[in-house]
Amino acid sequence: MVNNLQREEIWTEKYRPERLDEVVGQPHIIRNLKSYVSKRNLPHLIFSGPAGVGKTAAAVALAREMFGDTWSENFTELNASDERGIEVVRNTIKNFARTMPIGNTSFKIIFLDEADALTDAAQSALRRTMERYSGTCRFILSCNYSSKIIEPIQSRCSVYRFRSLSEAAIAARIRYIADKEGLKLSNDALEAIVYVAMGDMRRAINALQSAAVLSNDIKPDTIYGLTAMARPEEITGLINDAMNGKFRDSIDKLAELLDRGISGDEILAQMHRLVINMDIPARKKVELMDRIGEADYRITEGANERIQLDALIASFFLAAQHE
Amino acid sequence: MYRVNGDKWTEKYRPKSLDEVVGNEKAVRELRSWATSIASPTAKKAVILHGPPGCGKTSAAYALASEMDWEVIELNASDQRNEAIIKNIVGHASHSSTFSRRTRLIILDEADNLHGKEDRGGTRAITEIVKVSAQPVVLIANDLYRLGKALQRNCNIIRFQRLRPERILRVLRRICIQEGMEIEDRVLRILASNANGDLRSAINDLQALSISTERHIDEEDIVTGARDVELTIFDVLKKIYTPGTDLQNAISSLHSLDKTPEEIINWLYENLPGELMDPQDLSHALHYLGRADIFLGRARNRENFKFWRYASSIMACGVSSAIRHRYFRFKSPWYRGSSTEPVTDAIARKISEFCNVSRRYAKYYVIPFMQLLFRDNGKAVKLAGSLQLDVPQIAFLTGDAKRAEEIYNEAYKASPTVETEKVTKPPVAVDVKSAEVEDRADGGNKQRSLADFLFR
Repeated sequence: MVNNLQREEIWTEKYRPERLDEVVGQPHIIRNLKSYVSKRNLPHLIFSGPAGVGKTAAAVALAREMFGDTWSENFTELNASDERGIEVVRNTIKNFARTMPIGNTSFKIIFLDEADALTDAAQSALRRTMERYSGTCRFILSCNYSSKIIEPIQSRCSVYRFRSLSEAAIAARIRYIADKEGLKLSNDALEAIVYVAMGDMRRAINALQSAAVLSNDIKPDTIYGLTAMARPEEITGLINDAMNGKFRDSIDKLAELLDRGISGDEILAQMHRLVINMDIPARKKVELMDRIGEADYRITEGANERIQLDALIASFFLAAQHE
Repeated sequence: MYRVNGDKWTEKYRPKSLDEVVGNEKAVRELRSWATSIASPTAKKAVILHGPPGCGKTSAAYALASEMDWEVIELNASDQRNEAIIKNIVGHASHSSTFSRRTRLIILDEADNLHGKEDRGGTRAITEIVKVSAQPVVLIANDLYRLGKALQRNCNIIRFQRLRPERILRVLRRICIQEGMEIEDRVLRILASNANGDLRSAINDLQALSISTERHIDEEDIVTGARDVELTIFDVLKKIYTPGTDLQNAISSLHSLDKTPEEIINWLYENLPGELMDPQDLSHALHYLGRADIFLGRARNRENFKFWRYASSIMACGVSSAIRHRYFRFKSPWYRGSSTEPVTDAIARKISEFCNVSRRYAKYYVIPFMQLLFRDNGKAVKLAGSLQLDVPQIAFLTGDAKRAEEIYNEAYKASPTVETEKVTKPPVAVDVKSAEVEDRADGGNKQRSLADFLFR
């Protein structure tokens, strides 16, 4: 367990919402969770959705509001994907569930993170464990896709789909934290943080905290530098050059990014992300995305990063020539 | 402090008699006729109820007990169920006659879910008890095939199916009236179709709605996702199948669906309006679906799920950029048969289990052959019975829904007593099945061909 001192020092922990109202970007889900609290009743739940959109935050805030001061005694969090395996999960659940809930409540809450990392066999075992302790415990399972949870478990749970956070939601929270911490955060810098976060609040807060370590005045370049990402306009510039016949310029820009320590993997990810919004015909976009994915695959399989990236730029150049 | 479970609507509204069990009329009929037949010394004392979650298996078992005025001994998943425990509790109950001489029904819920160390020997103990029991036994399972051949052979087998949305809708309406809930019928319709044939989940969702909102409930309140896939995927498809759509928007709504790209590609492929498209456009779309599929394979093979993002955007943009006219009529890729498995795969799985061949072989070599065999009604009945095919699967093999229904009824009409008689007559499917198991018991794990049981 992280003690309080350390908690304060990690901003994702320090600014973890204590109340359901503070969980951003999921208004409908939060409204339902609040009613569970007011009725002091809770079914088993599945929280599905991508990383950093508030699944854990919602579970913790729910426990805090449901149990008040005794929340930490009545709530436990387990990670299903830890290689210690289902046996450990079962023993921990057993030990936790065996003791009576503390305070004015008839049940405890077990939050099982990454439940979709369990195999089907392990999930069947989990299902039995859930049934066995359902008298004293409610389970909240988190996962990326609920279809990876076996049907008999799904059938016994209410499933909530958490959506990706909007840029506005992330921006608002980052602005709030920056003000609390007395940081100077320009709009450009805020935009950079939102860009590097890709819908993941945890990543956004981490980026802000890393930059704050260096200086109280947060600059966009610091954000891109710390996260080893290129500015979006650098990537689109490079692609545009290649497609406009300026092959040399494009290669030079690529070399400059690599020299700055940005990985080929990251460049490809950003290319893929930005191509979709570029001002080119839709069919061209698919073609480029396919080529980018192909290069990524080859590099993952062990091909030379530099050669594959240069070849990718060359293929952009050639694709434009064939128009 | 109060017991939360007592408030669960799935418990509160459990049927009290077999007539109240929703849907699955045929299964209920079979269950009742089994219950009345067990007095006969030759009848099988045990029955397996199998089928997907939330379609009424446990409810039917309890309803049966109350209808027959039987005492119930239940061993469910929350009890430990190893060999010693099962023999102790159930074994005792199963042959000692009670003082009251009341029949005791032994219900073993989640019989396919015995697990590892804790339940060691459980399956064997169940099999033995089923063989010698003087009392009726009901085994409940999602997956029949995990129960083992020996156990299956000693039981009658009754299959429960997913419920149709209209059936679920009716139940939801009734509960709303009894609970005094003010809710629009449109919302109930959505819940019913989201449930994917699972009544328990529909009732749970309804209760979640009632807990979570004090005031009048409308469509907006349905956030319990996952089971709403059918609803929202159509919205996303609509975006993708609109010419000149905002691709960024289409892809992010694709990501907010609770569906993996592995599932989505089937939806896109199935809904390509091939006959309405210019061949150039169609081949463009198919080319990129093919590419997206390659990325899915890469993600799977390397367990590197970053390739999913390429797969998603290539499949969405590839299809969208090929579309020249707005297109609206979408269908589910699994419009027949069960929810997650295409019908050919389901048949192939059954063949592969029966004949010990690979699924791939079954799919590409055996199924085409079966389609020829299914032209003959007699052979079709035998095959359907041996492989335990359901109506959509038979319909796929015959290409004729009406005939499929007849074949199905013929293949499964065997009542318990008739079935035992059949064993003595040679060319019937049931006979072959038990013969097969005996072969295996001799130690031979010899591969069987379809011809073995058809033509001998």
